[in-house]
Amino acid sequence: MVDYELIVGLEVHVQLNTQTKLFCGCSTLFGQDPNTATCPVCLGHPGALPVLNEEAIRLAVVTGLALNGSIPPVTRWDRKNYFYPDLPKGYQISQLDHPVVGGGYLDLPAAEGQEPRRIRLTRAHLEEDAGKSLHDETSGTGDSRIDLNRAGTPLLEIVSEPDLRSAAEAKQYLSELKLLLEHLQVSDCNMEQGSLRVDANVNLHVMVDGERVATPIVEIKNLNSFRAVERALEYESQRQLAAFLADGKRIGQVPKQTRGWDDAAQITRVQREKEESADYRYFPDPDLVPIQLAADWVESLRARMSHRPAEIRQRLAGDLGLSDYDAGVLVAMGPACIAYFEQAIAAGGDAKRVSNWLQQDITRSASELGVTLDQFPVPPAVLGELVARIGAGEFTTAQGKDLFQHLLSQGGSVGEAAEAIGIEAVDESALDELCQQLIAAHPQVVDDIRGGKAQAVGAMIGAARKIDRNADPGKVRARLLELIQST
Amino acid sequence: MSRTALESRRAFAEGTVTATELVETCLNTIERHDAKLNVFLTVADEQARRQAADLDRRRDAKEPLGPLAGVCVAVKDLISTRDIRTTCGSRILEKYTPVFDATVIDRLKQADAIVVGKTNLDEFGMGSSNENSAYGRVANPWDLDRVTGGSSGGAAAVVAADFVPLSLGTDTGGSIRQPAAFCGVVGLKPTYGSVSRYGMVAYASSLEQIGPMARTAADCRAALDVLAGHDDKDSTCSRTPLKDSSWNQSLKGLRVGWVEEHWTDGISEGIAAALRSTREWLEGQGATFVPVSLPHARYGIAAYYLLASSEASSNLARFDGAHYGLRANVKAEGRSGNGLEQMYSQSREAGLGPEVKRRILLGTFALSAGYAEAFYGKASRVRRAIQQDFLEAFQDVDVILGPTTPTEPFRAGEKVDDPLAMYLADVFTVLANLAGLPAISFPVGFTEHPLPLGAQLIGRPFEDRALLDIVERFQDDTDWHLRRPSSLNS
Amino acid sequence: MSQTPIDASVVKRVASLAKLALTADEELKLAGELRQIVSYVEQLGEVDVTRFEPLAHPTEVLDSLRADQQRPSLPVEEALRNSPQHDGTCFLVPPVLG
Ligand SMILES: [Mg+2]
Ligand SMILES: [Zn+2]
Repeated sequence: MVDYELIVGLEVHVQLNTQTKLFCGCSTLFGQDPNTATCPVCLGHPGALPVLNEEAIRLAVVTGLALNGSIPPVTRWDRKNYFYPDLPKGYQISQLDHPVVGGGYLDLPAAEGQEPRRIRLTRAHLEEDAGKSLHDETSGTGDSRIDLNRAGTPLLEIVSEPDLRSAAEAKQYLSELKLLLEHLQVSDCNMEQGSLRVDANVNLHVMVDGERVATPIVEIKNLNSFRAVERALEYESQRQLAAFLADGKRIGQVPKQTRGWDDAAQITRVQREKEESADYRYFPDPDLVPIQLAADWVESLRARMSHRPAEIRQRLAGDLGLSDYDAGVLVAMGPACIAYFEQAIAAGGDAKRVSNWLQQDITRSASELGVTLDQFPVPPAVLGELVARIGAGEFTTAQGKDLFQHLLSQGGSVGEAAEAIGIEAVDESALDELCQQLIAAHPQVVDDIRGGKAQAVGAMIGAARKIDRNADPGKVRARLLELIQST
Repeated sequence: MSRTALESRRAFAEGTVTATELVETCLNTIERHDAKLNVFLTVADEQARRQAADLDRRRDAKEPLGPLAGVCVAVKDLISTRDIRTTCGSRILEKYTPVFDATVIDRLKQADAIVVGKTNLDEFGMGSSNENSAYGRVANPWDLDRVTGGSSGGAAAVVAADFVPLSLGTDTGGSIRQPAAFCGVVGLKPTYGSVSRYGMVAYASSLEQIGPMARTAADCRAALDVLAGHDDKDSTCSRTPLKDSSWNQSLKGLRVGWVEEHWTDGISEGIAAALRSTREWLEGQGATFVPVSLPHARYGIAAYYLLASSEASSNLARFDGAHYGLRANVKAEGRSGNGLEQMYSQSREAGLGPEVKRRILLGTFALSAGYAEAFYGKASRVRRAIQQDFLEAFQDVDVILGPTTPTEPFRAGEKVDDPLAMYLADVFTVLANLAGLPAISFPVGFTEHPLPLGAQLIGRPFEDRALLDIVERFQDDTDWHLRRPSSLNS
Repeated sequence: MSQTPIDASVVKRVASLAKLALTADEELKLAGELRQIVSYVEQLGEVDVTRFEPLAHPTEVLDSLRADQQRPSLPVEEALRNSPQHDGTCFLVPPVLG
């Protein structure tokens, strides 16, 4: 049994959430007809010049801050020169020496029985995307078709240090990064649409006679799903181990190899050797000027850090009393879920109950309807009211579900729904009167409850049954707690 | 002699002449004489006639007219014109018709100037003699066997020969001023960032500007007023406006720098003599001369050719046969293996001329792994040194006077086989491009032949108008700019 | 700066980076010209440049930005107008492999 460790660093290309491209006013919308979102600038027509989209810089800085990176006072543009038909200028505008973000790290939440892990980042830089080459075997001509709609789309390339130690950890890093980007709303991270693309640098540290030996680094391209990343890394660690055992080649003894992930065959393949691809002849883009990132402007963007997953989890678990597990699930459901959750509790819904509704009925209904939560037919304020009134005992749980179904199909307010399906809200005045009477009679119990012993309320429920034999213990309990805790 | 731009504008506005007559005269002259000069690559006769008719209608309707209304303008074929072929003097763009206008073309149209056609140039602006055009060289109107200079040779010749009163050139290392000197006209390279480069096909983006060429400084000023100003389509276009000049009345108190280093570089006797008399004239006007030193000036050509070629190697990568322009017929056997590679290299091989290839190679070399710091990097630092030399000199002087070129226009073919000798023709002009300064060339005399002789004034950043004022005073008092070549008289 | 050797192999490598197909004659001729130009520009080696920062732009314009607002794109016919080969929707090029 050979003792070895997998060493992985990831380069993640994230498409930023802008309306328009990085250097021109063409739309970045996915799925437009080929070459209809192009102009002289992104077609690279002779004489056309780039002008930077300010929103791209803002989103890059927000991401950099969220990743604990440093934002330099000035950031600059370089040209990366190479020929490819999806690159109409013959160079890509990118950043080499003065990237918009330096350093940083991402903490991975600790899984059960594990230590939390901090993954260090090297940098993050902005660059323009290339267009798309479509090879159509059936056309008969053998030509490639080039669509330049995507050319010039803003990408943030986030480069990690080689801190990842397993395929599972790489996947966890990507999940956490994706969640961060989604909650900050800097990217929609739609992998099917290519909004998040991953390259991996992989090698092994193999123990040979008590000494760690590094194998040659391989870059894997074309990783278009988390599953592909995981599979490719698993595959590559076995392949590299076998190669090392066969030839003993160490890092530096062979040139860095680029391999592509073949999703159909579930293997990596050597990509065609591009003999001069190594020499990109970077130099400062003379058509663009440096951008100052004023310290006070950067500081003003820190407000958005409250949208980081870690902060939201803390808020949900700490301030709102959800379990760590529930907080984690809601955050993993994305920013639309958190927005829904926060609006529903603002409308009076209890956090734990709203969380349950979100994880169960709402998720199920939304997926049946094929809608996202920001388009969900029952607005969060309505759900919040429904949950509050169920909690106050106005409706039973079963009635609540009926009301929810009605709201889902018919819309309207909770009151309208109750009327429409003939549910009479219980007259609350008798219950209120009873509870006020009990509170006045049991000051010691009230103090205990306020002191945190909610279970003390049992004493008053017994007393309530002595005053009104028909009193519903559940409703009395809920109303009592509500009245005591709200004063 | 035909009208200047300002005279055309006045005559048209006053009703002495129609725009249609101005255009027809111009088209007629091109028709009769251009075979000798080879200036026009494309004549935009249809568009020009349509625009003239519209202008005549608007004048009759007493609608407001722009500051260049009725002025026929020729434009260097390196500037993008919507629906008018733009070749850049290259085979690779022989059939390229832009879908957009350069900002300067927008502004000319806004000013009611009439673009009559596109003028010949060294391919992509790379050359100092106009012998590097894929469409043949331009002849110097003063002596058809001599070069016009370059790369804006067509734009200079067309004004010298009186086809049009005004043209637009571009200047990366002297491409406006050197041909202006060789053809006996005024040419201004504005301060870097004062005129939008949007739509100028880039050769070396950090060095070049579009500028006017005309017989008089007054016409250049009228054009500059239309061309200059911030453009939100060009990131390198400044928001700093051009400064007003204090030399529009008198030159008393003007401090003129006289660069010691310039006088050791083998300047022809004719040019030296013409400069001495220009100096005497300036002193007669109350200007004082101050010796200044530009210690790094002698490295200008080396730094310039490295930087310009480096930028060019990247700027011209887009001409690869993929999306526009010439695509070589890739042979059938190439289609399987590396048809794409063949498309690239064969299209570039067939479409680009030898000087363009030479500079692309030099630039690719200067940026390549292992050489970039020693060549591109070092040249960028020398560029800073040259700029600082100028900033120091301008603490003591308002402008710097010197020769535009070391020699009179040379004979066609004389230097084509010696690229380095050709590069040295730009020794005095590249400095202003490296430092981003405004510079003007203007006629200051003639050889016995006669061949025109030019002088160059360099100014502080954004003080372009000071240069125009000084030349305008000079032209008020001298008549070098009024002499016209006789080569087209027959 | 030491004399940089420019031989046919350097020219070949640089030409391949720049996608220029050169004949053997051209390669030889250009190697000679490049050698001459490079030895001329090597005079920059005389300058002590350590105290000068590189200058990429002669006028230091900063912060040229545009708002994230959509502007009209070209109709597809215009986008493809100058294309040597297209199918009405896409540019066509010889097959892109790998
Ligand atoms: Mg990248
Ligand atoms: Zn565009």
